[in-house]
Amino acid sequence: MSKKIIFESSEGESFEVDEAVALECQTIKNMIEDDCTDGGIPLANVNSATLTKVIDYCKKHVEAAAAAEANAGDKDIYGANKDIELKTWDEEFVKVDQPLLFDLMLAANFLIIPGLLDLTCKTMMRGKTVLQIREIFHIKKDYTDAEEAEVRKENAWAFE
Amino acid sequence: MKHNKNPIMENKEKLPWELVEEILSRVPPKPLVRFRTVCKRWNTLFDDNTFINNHKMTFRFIVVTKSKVYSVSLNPEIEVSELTLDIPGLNNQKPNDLVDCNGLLLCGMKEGAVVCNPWSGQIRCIKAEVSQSSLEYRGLGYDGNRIGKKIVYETLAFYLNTISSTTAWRIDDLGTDTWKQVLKEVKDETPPQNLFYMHSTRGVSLNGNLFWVAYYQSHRSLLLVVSFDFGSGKYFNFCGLPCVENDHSDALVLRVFRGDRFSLLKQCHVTKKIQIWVAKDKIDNGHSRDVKWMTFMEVSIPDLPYLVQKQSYPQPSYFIDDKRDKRLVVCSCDVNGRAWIYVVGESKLISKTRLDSVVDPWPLHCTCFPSLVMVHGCPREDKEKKKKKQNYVLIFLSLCFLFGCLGSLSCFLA
Repeated sequence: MSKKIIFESSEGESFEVDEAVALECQTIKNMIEDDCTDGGIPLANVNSATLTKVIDYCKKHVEAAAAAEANAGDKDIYGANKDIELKTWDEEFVKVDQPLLFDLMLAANFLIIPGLLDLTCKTMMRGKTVLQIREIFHIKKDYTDAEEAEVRKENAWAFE
Repeated sequence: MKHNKNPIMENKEKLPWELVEEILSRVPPKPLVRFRTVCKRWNTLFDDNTFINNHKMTFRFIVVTKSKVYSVSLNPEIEVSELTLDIPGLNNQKPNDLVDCNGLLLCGMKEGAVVCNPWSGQIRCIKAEVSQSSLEYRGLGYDGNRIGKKIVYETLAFYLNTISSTTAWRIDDLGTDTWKQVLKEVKDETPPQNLFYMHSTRGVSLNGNLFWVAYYQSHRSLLLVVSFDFGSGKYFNFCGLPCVENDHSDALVLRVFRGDRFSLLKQCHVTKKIQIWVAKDKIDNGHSRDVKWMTFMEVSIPDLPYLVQKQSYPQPSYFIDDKRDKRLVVCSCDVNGRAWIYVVGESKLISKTRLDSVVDPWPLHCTCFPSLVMVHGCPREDKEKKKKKQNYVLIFLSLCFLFGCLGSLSCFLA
């Protein structure tokens, strides 16, 4: 039986996961190494919906890494397919609404899960217009209309 | 107690700036350019070298074969990526040379040149005149004396005028898309005023001016740094070098260090010993300077090959990293024409890596640190062509209409 780690979401809900899955998070890895995980790990800034997704992601990637290792000898035949399969899975994984994607990114940043941070950041920014970006980041436009037009004109080639 | 509000949701308005940078460092260069219009702070961030150096898609070298352009990054493991740069003419010919300047790349081709930003993908072509043969592009810079005005990039090329059989220099202004001849046309093709021989034709750009290691024609073993000023269109004897005399077989490469001063790499072809000097002070604008050089690094490493290979661009490319430890990073081809990256520490070879994904032998290479600098004025060729085509169609249709009218008129009259 592998060791279990217990996470507690911001709503106080408990989530039990294998240690291997928890180790995907650099922050938790450090805590495990320092032996301060007894009695569960409270994650006051990660809600249950987000935490469920985060655990799904870590589980999948632990499984994929184990499968890749088992098939290391046949990498030419299966390795490439496995990579594609995982990528497709990742793509499906981030097909969520904007607020959840944002929370996932924050959680990945806080828990230090480099793969998930990469995935969520890229997905969040892909294909977004300037107006959408301002909305997502709560940025107030500090250009005058004329200034904005000028910057846009200077960089017109990138808008084509 | 149950938390009704998600603390993350409350924090959203104050997303920490570090996290914003973290997100933006994963956005490809072209969308980044678009995001300049989001707000002033983002716009400033995209010109910040630290941000670009930390960007996930940054690189350190550009390697060009006869059909492909690659970037090489060190983060710190060496990674080679193929760039999708549509450089016209690159399907069958390797550029004659590569020169970098502020993240822009000048590729001298047979019938002209291509200036591109290899990071953002922006491209601009320069066409030679029919009478100008064997154009050799020597450097990319700008008039550094126009303080306060926007930088307008210019290229310097040497050519043979086939009509008058004279050689001359031309400057192309990328802002206005025009070119002018500088210096007098001379019958003898030796560069500037028959005084110097350039050790390497690749001009190093600093403050907009170009610099080369050169020899006095009268004393072939005496070295100096020659500069070209785009403002006046003239060459100058700029400064001396720390190694006064030099064997012509030694590697000798001038580069910019810390963005504002020179570094010089020399490798003795017999002992393979590498010496690096750096200028003590930053180099200001001006036509000649008393530059003080100091030794930066001296290494004798048995494993390190001779970095000069005559078959391709002979001199090694390199940059110095002195942020944490002193590091020298070199790109050069081996005897078989395969490109390698050598990382050298204070007294030892840290790593050597063959760039296996660069398939074609004898690629050209140069250091190039990305930026979002614009290739100026970039005309949209295909749009113009489209417009022209539309115009032709319009003329054709109106002619048809006119003839039709005339036809029916003549019928009517008959």
